[in-house]
Amino acid sequence: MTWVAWRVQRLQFLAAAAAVLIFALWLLTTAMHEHTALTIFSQRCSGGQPAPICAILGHRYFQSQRWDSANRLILYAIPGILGVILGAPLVAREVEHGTSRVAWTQSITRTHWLAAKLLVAGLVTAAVIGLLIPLEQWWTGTLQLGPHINPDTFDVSGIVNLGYGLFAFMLGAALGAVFRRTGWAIVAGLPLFVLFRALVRFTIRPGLVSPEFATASPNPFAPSIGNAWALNSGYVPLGRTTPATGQTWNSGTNAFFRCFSPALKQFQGSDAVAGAHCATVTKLHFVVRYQPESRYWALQTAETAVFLAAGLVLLGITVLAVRRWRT
Amino acid sequence: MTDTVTALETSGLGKRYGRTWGLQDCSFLLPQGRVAALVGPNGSGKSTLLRMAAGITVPTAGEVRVLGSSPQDQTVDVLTRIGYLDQERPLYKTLRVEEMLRFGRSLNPAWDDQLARRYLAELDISLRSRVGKLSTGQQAQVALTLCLAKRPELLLLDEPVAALDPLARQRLMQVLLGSVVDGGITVLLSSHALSDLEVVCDYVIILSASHVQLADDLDRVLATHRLLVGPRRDPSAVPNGVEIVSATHTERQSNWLVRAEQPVTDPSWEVVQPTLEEVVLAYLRDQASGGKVSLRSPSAPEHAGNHTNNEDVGAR
Repeated sequence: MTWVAWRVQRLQFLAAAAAVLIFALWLLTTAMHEHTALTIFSQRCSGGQPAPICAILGHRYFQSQRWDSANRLILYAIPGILGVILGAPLVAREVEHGTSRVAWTQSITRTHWLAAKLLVAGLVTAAVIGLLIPLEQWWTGTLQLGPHINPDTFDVSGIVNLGYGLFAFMLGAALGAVFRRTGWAIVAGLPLFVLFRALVRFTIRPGLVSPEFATASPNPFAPSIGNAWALNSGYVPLGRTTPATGQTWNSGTNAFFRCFSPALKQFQGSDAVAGAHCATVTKLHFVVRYQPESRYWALQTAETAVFLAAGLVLLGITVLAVRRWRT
Repeated sequence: MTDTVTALETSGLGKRYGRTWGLQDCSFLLPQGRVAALVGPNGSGKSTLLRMAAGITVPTAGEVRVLGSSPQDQTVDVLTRIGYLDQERPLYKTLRVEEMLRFGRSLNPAWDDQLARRYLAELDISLRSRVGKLSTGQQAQVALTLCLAKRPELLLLDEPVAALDPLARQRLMQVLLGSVVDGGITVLLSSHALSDLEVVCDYVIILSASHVQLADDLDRVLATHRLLVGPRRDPSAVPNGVEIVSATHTERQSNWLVRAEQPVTDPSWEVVQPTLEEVVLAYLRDQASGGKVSLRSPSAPEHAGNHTNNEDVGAR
């Protein structure tokens, strides 16, 4: 049955792999170009008196960055699009073409049939996306695209992409099994995927691994957190790392600055003195809630698990839809 | 091969599509080892019945049992024993014929590869051809090959001879007869080609207007139905003990197709043995005129049985 599953969707698999391969080559080319520009610029123009040529080298480096945001967007979109497009036809296309009636009257159960199809197409999805991960890792590292824990880079690197891809795949398969139409499954699947991903990104991810807190007292200003993803920051009561009950990060900050602005005049523009004064008066201190770079893999694993768990729910829906098919 | 084992049994079986019933209150027994013809006009529920027997469609009412178990359970045991040919002959169009055979081989433990290859070779269908590039008739043959090579105990064939040329029809009928004689399998096939059926079938099930009109041995059907031809007269003149199935009148003559357990001896009638086709048409005509023989309108046109309800509900 695995041969059948492969053979029936072979064209889609190869097309998906080819599309991703072409993009990978493109990414590699643009990134090598950018990397060269960056290396030359840092070698020739770091420290001391900048040579006149540095204006040109700097411009060249700047120019070489012009594909970064587009590439990032494509990397961001690949797992969802690939997963939904490979998942949607899995059941739906067989029903549309009537071939489900052939497949379901051979000597294997529908569950067996579905399991083989999901396994083969799921492995292909995972393999295609999985091959992209080392490239992504190299891309974000070589081009120094900020800390990996930061959502901008976190989303386009690491194993979490497998989670996205397999979830999108199961979403496509489940919608296809329920709607019995490949087109509808894709049209509904893509926005649903974006929605779920946004939900995880904004509500689940920040607390998925318990965050770190950095306080800045006696210095009332931003502490150094180095390479990190800042979740929240602001003034909170002394002795606390989060706003008091009924307060927000902003309300503390507002309270602090109600003191700080007049104090600045009073102490003739000395930030440090005015700050120290207000810290004593308001009994507030500055706190940053953040995920340090060292949490990258823990967070990647946890978020991958979230998406795989959601994918399992969709798997259940798909199995039920196929087993209890009523035509 | 005894008649005591039931290949297919339905009781009160029904399927509703929205508000219309595709098949209703369908009860019959099909003994093992028979070649049964399922006949009826378009939309009478033939495909619906076959799909429910194959476990593809879930009944709305009643029950269907295939070789003693319910096909709805989708167990390997039942699936292995049924061969089903869908009316639309769905196949993987991008596969080559030999890949279609590999499909059958890898999904069916009792697969007879030799039979499949021999059958296709006789038809000059190249194993290298893409299924989608074959003619409609050839595709139908590939679909049929898939069913036969599966070596099932019960073949459910939805219009197997449609799209086949006369020679291919005849060959298919021979193959079916051969399988029944050799392997003791049971065949239920729907068709509009009534003359073909009489050659090969020994059991007949007549469906009309979503109901079973008749399900019996062909011999019994032929033995108990008579065509009475005589001068035009009132239905009360029909001899006792016979049941009118259909009546047609011309100006001077009445033709009654009747069901009679006893021989009709009334000398005022000319008694003729009807063909299966005539019996089937009589039942279909009867249903089309509302289930009753129209007596009050002797001027009714002879072909009162033209069906207007051609919408094939069963094909959904």
